[in-house]
Amino acid sequence: MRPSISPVLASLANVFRIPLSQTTLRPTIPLLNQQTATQPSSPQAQARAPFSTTTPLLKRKSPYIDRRVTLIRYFLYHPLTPRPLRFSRTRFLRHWTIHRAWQLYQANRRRNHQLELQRQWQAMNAACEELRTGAGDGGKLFRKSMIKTRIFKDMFPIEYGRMQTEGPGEGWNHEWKRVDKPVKR
Amino acid sequence: MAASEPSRYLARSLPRAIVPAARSQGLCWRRHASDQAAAKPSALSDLESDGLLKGTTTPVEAAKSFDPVARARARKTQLPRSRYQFRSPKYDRGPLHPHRPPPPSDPSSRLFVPGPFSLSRVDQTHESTIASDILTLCYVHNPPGFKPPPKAPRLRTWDDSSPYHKNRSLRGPRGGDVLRLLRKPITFNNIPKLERITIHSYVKNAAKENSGWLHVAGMALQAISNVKVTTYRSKTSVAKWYISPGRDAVAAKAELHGEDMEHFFGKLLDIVMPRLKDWPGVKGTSGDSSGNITFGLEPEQVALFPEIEVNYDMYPPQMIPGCHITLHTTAKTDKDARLLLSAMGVPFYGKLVD
Amino acid sequence: MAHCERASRPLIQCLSKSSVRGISSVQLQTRAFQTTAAVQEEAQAEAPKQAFYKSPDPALVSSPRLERRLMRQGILPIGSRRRRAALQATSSVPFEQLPYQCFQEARKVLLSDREEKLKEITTTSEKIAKIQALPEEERTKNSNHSRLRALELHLERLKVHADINDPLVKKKFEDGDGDMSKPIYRYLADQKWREYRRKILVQRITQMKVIPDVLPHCDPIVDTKLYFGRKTVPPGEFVNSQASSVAPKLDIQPFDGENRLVTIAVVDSDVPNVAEDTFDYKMHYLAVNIPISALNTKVDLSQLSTESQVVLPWLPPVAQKGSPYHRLSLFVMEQKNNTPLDFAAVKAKETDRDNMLLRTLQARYHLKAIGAHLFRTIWDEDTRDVMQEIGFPLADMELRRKRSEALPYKRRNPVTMRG
Repeated sequence: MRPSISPVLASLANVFRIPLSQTTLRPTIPLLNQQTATQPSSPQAQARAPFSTTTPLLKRKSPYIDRRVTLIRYFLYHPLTPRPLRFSRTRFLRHWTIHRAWQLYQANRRRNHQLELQRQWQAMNAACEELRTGAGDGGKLFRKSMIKTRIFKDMFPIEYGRMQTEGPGEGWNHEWKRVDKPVKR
Repeated sequence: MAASEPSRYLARSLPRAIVPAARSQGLCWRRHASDQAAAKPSALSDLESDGLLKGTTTPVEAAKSFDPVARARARKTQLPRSRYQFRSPKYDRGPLHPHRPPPPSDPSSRLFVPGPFSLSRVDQTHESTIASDILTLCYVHNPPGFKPPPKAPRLRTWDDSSPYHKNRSLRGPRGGDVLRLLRKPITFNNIPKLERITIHSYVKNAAKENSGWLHVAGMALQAISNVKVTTYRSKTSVAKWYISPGRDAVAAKAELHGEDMEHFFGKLLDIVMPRLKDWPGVKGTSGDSSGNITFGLEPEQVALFPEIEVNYDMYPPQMIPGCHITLHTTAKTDKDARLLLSAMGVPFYGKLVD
Repeated sequence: MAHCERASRPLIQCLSKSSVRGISSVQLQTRAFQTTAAVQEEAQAEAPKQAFYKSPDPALVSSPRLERRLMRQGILPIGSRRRRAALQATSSVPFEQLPYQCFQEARKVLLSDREEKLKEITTTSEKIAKIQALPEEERTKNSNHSRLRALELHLERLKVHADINDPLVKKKFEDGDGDMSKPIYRYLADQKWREYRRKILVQRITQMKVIPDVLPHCDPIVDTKLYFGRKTVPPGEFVNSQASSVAPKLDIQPFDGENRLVTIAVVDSDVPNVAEDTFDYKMHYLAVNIPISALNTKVDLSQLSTESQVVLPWLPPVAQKGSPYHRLSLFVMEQKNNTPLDFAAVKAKETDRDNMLLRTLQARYHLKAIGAHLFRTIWDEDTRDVMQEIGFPLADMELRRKRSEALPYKRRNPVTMRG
């Protein structure tokens, strides 16, 4: 016999059918497993046996329960949940410091992002105003650009809709020049 | 620290009659804070001068030899038990109860979740690309000084044809009682984003056969979502499936927020959706017209999630559930939500209905 | 940090301070509820002259025998035994230099944030100084005035934000060592008060209908604690009439940096009026021109000067036998513009305790209620003695509820309705 182990380990060992000793601590689950494992072959065994020594109650056919369902039930409902953390005073203060710094950092990041979006919006606003009044075409281009119906119909092309795989690239290439092709007549 | 400024604390703790009057207590009150500020050398003297953040300090030598683990190991005997250990109360009994649970950010709270431990791709993509894309696409220019014409009130008044109309609450909109959400033009501070995801699975066999079906479904949902599921009883009666209201637990639901949600959505987009056979996409008529889009996955499609796939033998194959996935966005209309989801890579097909 | 421990600490401290007053043991006072390593320096500083067991250090002693010996000498050991045992073998690294990487990184973030806040404070105070340096007619212009007010508010907020992320500030405040002359501690104390005690107070004064009965409205902004003798009274508590026969002590804690002049009034709103079958009001105490500020919080109602402050001295509240409980509500009211009231005029005018309404006083002297408290009193075994002491006229009378006449019998379904 081994020295006794903790009940948690014992029940886990039971579940995984690791033999602890000759007498298992909680024999219910292995018994169930043996039962289910022998179930398909039981009719022949019963047919070969001349008479049965089991009581009628045990002999009654129990519904077949998949062993995997048993395992899932076990892991779904086992009560091992972590207890709340307990910190000493200085450790709590260190944790609090880190927490506050992280919150501050996140807030700053969100704010910068918001400001960046605001900057973009204002730039668009200025550009559209310029297009409306200063383009010299009576605002035709501006009116065309403000037609939004197709956006909600076509949406983004599916090739474009991808999660990024790495960090943002270099961005706009300001040095790029259009390659002028010779116009064919 | 307390010893560094003994005089004042001493003064506060001594009886007032003994204390030399720091300020004259006569009738010389002035309330103006500006006067006080002027009297002081500067506003900085109001700040705590003795705190942690008083200035940069380089670590001393003692910090280098600091090794709490080795010190704890070197200890021959265990320390005595601590005098008092706080346990957060199990239930919140309201703001007037003397024992309230600490806020969830406190590590001693029962709701404390450490983390976040990762930067999710979904979040990063939204921040770096999608937000500004949607901002640009949805930009509507109004010239300076433009005022939109006033709209009619959304709730109608009663026409006073009957004396009973007096003091009645306003009448609902024409064509139904539902007051739709109000869509504001999208600007830099209301760009739609993913808010939460609900995974719901209705297991009809749970009532007819045994509860194993529901347990397996719950386990599968937990595996793919990393969130504890809750079960729900049926509200309706389905005689064909032997389901009666209030008796049978037939559904499991997982609600995903934050980091869990983003990881789940990433897996859904990158791993599951490309491998769905003959899947045209999310139906264009889906949505509850307030920015939440729902679609369903068949059991064999749910089995494509990597958590289930690597451990496929764990689940009885016929018991793997199908599920409905609802993507809740902060958009107020379905078309905005669809724009957001298509930017993230969710395909839509068929007629688009708002 | 334990929540209830946090909640009870200032109270316990206050009690311990008040209890120690007479005794000259400074040891007990400085020990108040510190659980931090403030003692480390002292522990290391002087080399031990004697063996440890001869003169044990209250910060480091961990064996029960030595602890008991210390306590017999009147010195309480500091902190928990676990902490003291841990401190025996700990080198003293200051908290801010603990070499945990994440902690140090966090500290850098907080430091840079504080630098920004400090810069902003300097610029804001410069702006304020610039506006104040303007000539008088410029400064009193409407735009400048409102701008000055906005800048001052902003400055106050910045002062709080500069310090609010400091763990040592948090620790000091939790230990009850906060210096109330600094805005950050006032802010933290205000938050804590509003978290629980103010909610309780507002619940009591509205549930027991003090608010519509005595005053139409009150938004408490100062924390008021009431003591009869050494015992603190939570709002709405029943107080023994013997205990309340002497005037209570008050601890009025404002949370802003202003010096205020207040009027304190105690009103009984449940005096039975048998003749008219109603209840009357009675003013049990009235004092004016009481200075309070964030540092000067203690007010002893029996110690105020009778020449310049007390208009109506304390009248012990008594409830006649058989009368329902009396609500004794105490209001702290701010005087307008902090100008002192003319004591002689008030004293000459307000002499009648019975026919004085607090609403009238409030309107007459432009007062504004900034703090409230409430206790109740009911007939108990000591009331008769108190009544005899103060010469209450009908001490032996017991009030009885008038038996209501039974209505004449009426058939539920009379003939006239049967039709």
